[in-house]
Amino acid sequence: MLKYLARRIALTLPTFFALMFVTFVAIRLVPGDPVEVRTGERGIAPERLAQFRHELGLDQPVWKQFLDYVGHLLTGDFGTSVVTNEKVLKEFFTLFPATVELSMMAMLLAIAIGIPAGVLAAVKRGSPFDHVVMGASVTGFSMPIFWWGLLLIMLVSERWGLTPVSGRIDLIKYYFEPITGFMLIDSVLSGQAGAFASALHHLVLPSIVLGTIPLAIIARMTRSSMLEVLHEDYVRTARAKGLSPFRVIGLHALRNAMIPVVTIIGLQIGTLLAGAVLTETIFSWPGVGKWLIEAIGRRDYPALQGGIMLISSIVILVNLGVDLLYGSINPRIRHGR
Amino acid sequence: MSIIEIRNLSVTFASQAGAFNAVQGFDLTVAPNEVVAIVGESGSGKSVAMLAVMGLLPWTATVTADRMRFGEHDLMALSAAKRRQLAGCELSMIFQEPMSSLNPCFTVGFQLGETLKTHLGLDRAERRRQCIELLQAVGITDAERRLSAFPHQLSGGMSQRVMIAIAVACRPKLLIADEPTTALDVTIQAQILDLLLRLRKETGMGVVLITHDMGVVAETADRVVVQYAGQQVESNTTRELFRDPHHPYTAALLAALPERAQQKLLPQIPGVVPGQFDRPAGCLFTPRCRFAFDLCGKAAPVQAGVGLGRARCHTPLVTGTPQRQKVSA
Amino acid sequence: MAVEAAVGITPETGPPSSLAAFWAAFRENRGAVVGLAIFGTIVLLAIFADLVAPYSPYIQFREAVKLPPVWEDGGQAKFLLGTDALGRDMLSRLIYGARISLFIGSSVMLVSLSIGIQLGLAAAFAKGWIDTAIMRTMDLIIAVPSLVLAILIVAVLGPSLVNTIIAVTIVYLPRYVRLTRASALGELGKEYVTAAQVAGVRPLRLMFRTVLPNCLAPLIVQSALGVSEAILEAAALGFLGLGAQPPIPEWGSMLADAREFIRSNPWIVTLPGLAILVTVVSINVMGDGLRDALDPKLRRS
Repeated sequence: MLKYLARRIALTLPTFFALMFVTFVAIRLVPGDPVEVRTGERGIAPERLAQFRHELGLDQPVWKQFLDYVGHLLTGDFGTSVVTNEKVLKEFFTLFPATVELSMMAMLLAIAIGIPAGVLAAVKRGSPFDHVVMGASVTGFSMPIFWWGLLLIMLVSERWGLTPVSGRIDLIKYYFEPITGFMLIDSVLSGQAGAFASALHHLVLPSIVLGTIPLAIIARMTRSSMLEVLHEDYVRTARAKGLSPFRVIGLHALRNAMIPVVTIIGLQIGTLLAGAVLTETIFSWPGVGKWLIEAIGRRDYPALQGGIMLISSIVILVNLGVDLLYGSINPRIRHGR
Repeated sequence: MSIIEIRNLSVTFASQAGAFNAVQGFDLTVAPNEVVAIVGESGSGKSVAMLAVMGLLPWTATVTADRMRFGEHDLMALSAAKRRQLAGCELSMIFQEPMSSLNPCFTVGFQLGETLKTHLGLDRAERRRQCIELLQAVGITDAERRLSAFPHQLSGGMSQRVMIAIAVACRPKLLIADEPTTALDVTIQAQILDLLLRLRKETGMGVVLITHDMGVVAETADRVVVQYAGQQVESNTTRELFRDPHHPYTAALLAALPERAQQKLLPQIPGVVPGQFDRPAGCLFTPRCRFAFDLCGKAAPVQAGVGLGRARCHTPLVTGTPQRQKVSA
Repeated sequence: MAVEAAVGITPETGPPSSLAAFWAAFRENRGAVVGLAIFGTIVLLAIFADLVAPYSPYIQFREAVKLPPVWEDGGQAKFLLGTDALGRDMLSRLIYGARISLFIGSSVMLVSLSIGIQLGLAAAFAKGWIDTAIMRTMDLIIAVPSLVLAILIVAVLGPSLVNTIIAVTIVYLPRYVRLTRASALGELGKEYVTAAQVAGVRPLRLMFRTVLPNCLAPLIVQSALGVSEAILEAAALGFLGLGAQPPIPEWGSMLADAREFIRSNPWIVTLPGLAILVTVVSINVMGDGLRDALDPKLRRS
């Protein structure tokens, strides 16, 4: 097991390095001189230009710039936003909890609805329920989420007035200093009545939108995995032991069926972050996705570079974590077979 | 009183290609302490009949019988919940592939203890104690350590022993063993069969042994039932069956045993067991039978009397010669 | 003794051709057939857009701005599905949009399929450091969330239709590479490959003529699904303003323009997204049918 751990961690190192290299090169390739962008069209004295260049390290040879870049990254300096003049790392992690909260809620919904739906569809194979689940899941993962979000806003928020259109909480009624960055937690900690409800209220629709695709995929995967497992010999043994159907399906079958599903859930993290970009844009959700899109628009290249670096690193780490978790669930890997 | 009594059991499967009659007219009686073997090739319906008794067939199967009595229970009339109470407790079954019959995600101790918890309601300490005893009873050394082992860490023989332990945990009245040794090495086969016989002697349970190996039948069974293409073609005590087989199929099976060989080349039964679409009219064994004549292809035979092994043949054999008189069932 | 066996064996007329067998299996899945029909219709619309669409997608009718579809009041029969904020006919824009999206989808699929197959086969056959290099690169691409990577590539190259295709191709490349490599590795262990090698078949020919045909089934399925994924990804880029630039009638960018009209003119928002949804669903359902028909192991009676 330890060997497996060490191997998996070692495998991610070259990926990190390659990532640094690629983001460095990519940003250098972007058209437009970052210095000129920063100084605008006002026109500037050549000495000042040279001074800026020097500050940004742009007068050094490229390979040295790269080494500086790597060095900075390793010390946690992901650059400074040219727009807000804040450290990219700081900005990122101020906004990151919002994205995490949204993603976690979306994933929770996806799992809570997707797995039972998949199990039931498998158990009642061929029934109308099965067909509905399959149809819904195909529609679900074919969904362009930016449109789905707009559609739901149109119906649920605008026409029926059930949920708010944007933001994380009703800022007119409630304001408190963020402690954890997670609105659900902070609202409880603030002690203001109704704050938690408002936070939850704002979280509902974006979570549904973001969670739609993972839900569809999880339901499908659960169903097909369950169908395979239900034919296995050990399920027959469980039935022969006279165990109740709930136990046979919910424990014996499900535990085995979950193994590929857990892998899929882990892989969905990347999809969630990609989807978060779109969802946050539509719902004006102040997370890293929206921040990244704005960075492009504002030509804030350090922010873009740092942001992509950070997001990708997090995804790599999460995938690593999922792999290790998978290794511990699956007894075969745990005992080194 | 016999432990189990089955009369005229039939199982039909609904499939895309129409209804498939897997078992017809199956009869079985098992007395306490008795080992009854069900012999047949693949497709003979031997497993399906027993799965029907256990209630393990999929929903596409229709099960009918004149009588299906287990103890005082009428299995046909029992609710699903009541049947589940019996299964794994008084009536249990072990299967052919022990390696895949155990759940890879749970330890041996968990799977064994589950039966004890569900049917006997024992607490954890008591369960652990009994699990160790059970493992020792089936001949597993180092039982305590094995409790926390996972199935993939066990060999085939050991897996089957665990399966047997699970099956006998609640002291069943009847144990159905569906080809328990087919997937195992020959040396392990003998051990597993010995184990089953020993348990039978200790607990007085009845055993139904499904097999395709006539040698195993000769060594372990008290009575034998021969299945062909879903029908019961002969039923007799082992001794009688081996001494004087009454159905041509049985005779052919015995003739193919190496121990009975009289020439260098073993006699074969030509042809194959009919499937769903090529069932002959009349007697199902007609295309492959040495003694077939024109009546065989036209009319289905009825079962002969007990003295003739209840052979399903128009002209049952007596010492190898077909008897051409009319015999009543 | 002679046996009068009434055994019912029908004389065989010969096994059905593999294409006929495939079609029979595909036909069983009614959803897949419907998907094929819808997708076929969309393809035809896209190809014959010039003939089918009532107007050019670029003409602006200044007097008919933001008209609802014909079945709402205020709608006109001249513009069946209404008009957008600049007075352009929605129906025509949608039809031409189909052409754009299908073009993007099929281009991405073709390019990533061909590059993916070559890289995958190279990785499987060459093994060693070539294998490692290719797979590490693919891992890197997968590590970055798809949309984020596409955004990065488009940021570098500049937003346009062609760059959208390049970006989405790169993002989806790993799938084809991994699939080909895994299939090829599976085939390499088989004896017919060893036999061919012994017979002196050169590596290139071995790769493409011997092994590749046996890896095709999952690749075909992935290609079908790849088209739909590419369409979605391209639409997302279009929505963010990073795809084909206006006035090109790309469905995603049509949605971006429509955002401000959620309250006032919902049709401008609903219709392009519906077009994307219907297209992608039909391809996915078709792809499912393909997968079930091509791999008999996956079918259950």
